[in-house]
Amino acid sequence: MRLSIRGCATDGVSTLSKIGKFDAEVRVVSMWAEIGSAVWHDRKAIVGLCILAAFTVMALLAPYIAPYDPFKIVGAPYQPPSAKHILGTDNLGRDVFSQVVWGARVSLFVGLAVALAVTITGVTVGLVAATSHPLIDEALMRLCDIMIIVPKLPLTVFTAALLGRGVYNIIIVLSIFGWPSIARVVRSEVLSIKQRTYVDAARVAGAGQLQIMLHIVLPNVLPLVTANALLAIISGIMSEASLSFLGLGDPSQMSWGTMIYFANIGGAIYHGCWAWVAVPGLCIALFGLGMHLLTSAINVVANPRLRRW
Amino acid sequence: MEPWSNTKVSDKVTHLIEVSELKVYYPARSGGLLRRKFVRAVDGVSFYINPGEVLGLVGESGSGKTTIGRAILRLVSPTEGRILFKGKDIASLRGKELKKYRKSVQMIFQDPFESLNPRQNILSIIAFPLFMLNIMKDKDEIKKYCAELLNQVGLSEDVMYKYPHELSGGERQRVAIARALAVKPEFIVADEPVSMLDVSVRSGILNLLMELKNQYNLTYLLITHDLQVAYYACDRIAVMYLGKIVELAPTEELVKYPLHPYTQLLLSAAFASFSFVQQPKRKLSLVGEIASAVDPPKGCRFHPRCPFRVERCEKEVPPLVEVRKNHFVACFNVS
Amino acid sequence: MDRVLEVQNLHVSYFTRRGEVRAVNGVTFQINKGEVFGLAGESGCGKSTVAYAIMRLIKPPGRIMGGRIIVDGIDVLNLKEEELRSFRWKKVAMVFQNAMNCLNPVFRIGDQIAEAIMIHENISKREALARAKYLLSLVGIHESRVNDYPHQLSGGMRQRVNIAMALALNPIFLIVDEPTTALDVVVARQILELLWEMKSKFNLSMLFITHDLAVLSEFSNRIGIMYAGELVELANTQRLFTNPIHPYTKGLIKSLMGFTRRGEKLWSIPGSPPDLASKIEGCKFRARCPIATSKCSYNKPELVEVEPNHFVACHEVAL
Repeated sequence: MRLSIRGCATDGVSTLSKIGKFDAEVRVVSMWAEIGSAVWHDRKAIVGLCILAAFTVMALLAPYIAPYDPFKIVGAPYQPPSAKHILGTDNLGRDVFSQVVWGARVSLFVGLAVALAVTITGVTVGLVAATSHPLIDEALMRLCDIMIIVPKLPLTVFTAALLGRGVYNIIIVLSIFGWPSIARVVRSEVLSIKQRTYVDAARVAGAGQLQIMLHIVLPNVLPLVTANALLAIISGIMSEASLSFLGLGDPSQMSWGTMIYFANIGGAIYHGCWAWVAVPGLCIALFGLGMHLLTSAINVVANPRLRRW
Repeated sequence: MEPWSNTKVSDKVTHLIEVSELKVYYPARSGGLLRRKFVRAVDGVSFYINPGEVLGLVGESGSGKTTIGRAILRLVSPTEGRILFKGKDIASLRGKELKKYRKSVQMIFQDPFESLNPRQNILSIIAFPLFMLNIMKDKDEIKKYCAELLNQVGLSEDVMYKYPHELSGGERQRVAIARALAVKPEFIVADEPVSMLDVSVRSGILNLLMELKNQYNLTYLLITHDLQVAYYACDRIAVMYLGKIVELAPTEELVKYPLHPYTQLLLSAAFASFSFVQQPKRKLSLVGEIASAVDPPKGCRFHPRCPFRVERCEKEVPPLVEVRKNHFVACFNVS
Repeated sequence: MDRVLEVQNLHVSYFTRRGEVRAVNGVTFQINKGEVFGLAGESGCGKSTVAYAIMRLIKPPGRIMGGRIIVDGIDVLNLKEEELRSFRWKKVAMVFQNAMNCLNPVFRIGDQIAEAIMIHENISKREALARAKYLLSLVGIHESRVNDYPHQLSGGMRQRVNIAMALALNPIFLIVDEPTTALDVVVARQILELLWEMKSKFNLSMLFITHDLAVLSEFSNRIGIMYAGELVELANTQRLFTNPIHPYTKGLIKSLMGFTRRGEKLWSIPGSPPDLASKIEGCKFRARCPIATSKCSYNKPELVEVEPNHFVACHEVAL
């Protein structure tokens, strides 16, 4: 937690940081514990965490929660919500609720996989750009610029069409276009950390370039990276949904996105199956809400000026 | 006569640190692609420091004093000139020798709120140089050593597990001092060690520095903008203006006979009227600010602000010459 | 005697995760017209909080818990939002701590001053800019720099701009919060001389907040010493330095470097200020006090007049 004394005087933080003195009890607070504490004390973040936990449980325990196999025909098509089928059935007579539950698995998996790939790539590129020769830095940043400017959806459609349908192809496609924004954020944060006095202090203490990166820079960058990585999950889920909606998803996997696709081509609205159309989208939206609520607390750890206590 | 031009590495090395014609230029932002402009942070500075001495480097921000400190710590490379530690040019040090140098020369930074990594607790901050320079490896040994160091600087051992934000400014600066001491250095550069602390805390830190110096036979380069701090802590003082030394003398001598107009200005600004230091008789008006180091004034750098300037000052650069015993000044009106 | 400021039993607390932090704990003092009143104390003693309270700038998690603040006859704490606008900057203005960082970096300094004027007065942009130029010349910044951005000015010049902004609407009372803390010694002197010039020229009353007693010795008429949210001594400047009574004041003055001869060991008050989040019974200074007795642990000392115009809050000393 970096308390900046040199803030503008009109926010209470600079006064408070001078008030905070010795704690009577000795506490060992690591960065993860700090994030945990920030989340614990923020009601919004707890709500967000609960939402995310609910979806995660739903995804993990899908076999036990879903009453039916999502691909099996178990009833008459276009049924409205009933006791037997909580959200009704789709155009082939498959249970929508089971599809939502199993869909959580696929969507979350895709989101997580994309977030992981994007974060690892982005952090590496950002670190390399911030610590290399200015020319390499320029080259990498121009590459990022190009990738950010290029209209992603047509390109993703094109690449998806090229690689074919399949969950792993989707993940590859989304990962290719997702890392530049994280790379930029990491690069600017690392550049700013490099200017800090404690980096000079580390050099004076005999640390080499690599040691400074590992022991000093990386831990200070981590909160920001965590927040961005979490947001990349929801971004991955939404991108997958977009691709699926356009028919480029994997029909053999029932994700929330493919559900919306099927709902669209299956004429759900015409038949009045509001649950089939709305619920998958609502799930994505709710998941995104939960994620943003959670990361708002984590951002405070990364940037203490946002603190409001 | 320049007192130490053409410094040679002699067999008999008496100076601990010797700075010789040091120039540090940074590329400036302004100026197009063709005409590269430079910030002349340090523009030809020479001095030496003997073992056991405290040399004060006094000047406003922009005078280059911090840059000299950073150059000695090899945080910035000189554009020209040399820095010798015990006779050896520090620019040539590599690998093992560089590590040895880092064990002998340490730094205390100005900002106690920024020089400690906020993500490390005090124990790991102090132990960091021990790891990096392969001084100690055993965890228990390190803990014990850190506890000792903390006691030495006037803090209790339970500070070890706290994080920097839980300490006050004075306490953080003490931790920074403990960290510098951990490697058992011979020479410490203290860059404005008290200017960011409350006035009531400053004396405690200065006392600590002096005690440690006597106890461990340390040598200091004390960088500050406040002549009053230098007065209490230093044996000799070098006054800097815009990258050059304008006056260099033993402390009492400098304060009793401030010869350079800039020194007189600093004196009148630094000491409150109730202090024991007598104010210079001619009170200079405090007009003007330090000029830019990108395009310093021609001739004597101080001449735009100097009430005693003559024509010569605008054209020629006055050399640093010995005017009284051990008292060097760079001013045409004086020499 | 005309009073420009009256603070009566002010209580301000911040509600943090660690509990209620009593930043200001029952502070009472007055400032007369034309006077410079210095409020001194270590970092965290609550002096800036007093200033914010006077300007009604305390934001959550801070809250004014009680007391009265009267500026030129106006009851500040009961002002409504619309009334605040004609109060702030017109009656009282403030030069903030670390003001260098408070200038908006994306606007020119002339525009910023003009905007401050236009918010409070109904004049045209051209008139406001002209006034801004005049103000800048008053504080020693050449007209030609009116179109500069803050980053093009040095620290000292930015502080001058802030003073100009504070004087923009001819306030009668100026609060300066650590105006010279982040400045070099020479520039700090220049700023102090500027403030003195402005004070004399516009007959301002001033509340000067600082941790540096030495500055106050030359600048203020009266001084109040604060410790851990409370006023412990209040006296005329001369008297405070020649006859300090409270042990904390004595310690502060002794630790000033100018009072020690070279070669002697400098004096510093042992210990550090208490954690304001913890409830301390009795006198807050007792842990560091050389003359503390058992009485000090359960009885909070009140300000008592020990000689004309000299108030001290200490059991061991009050007559």
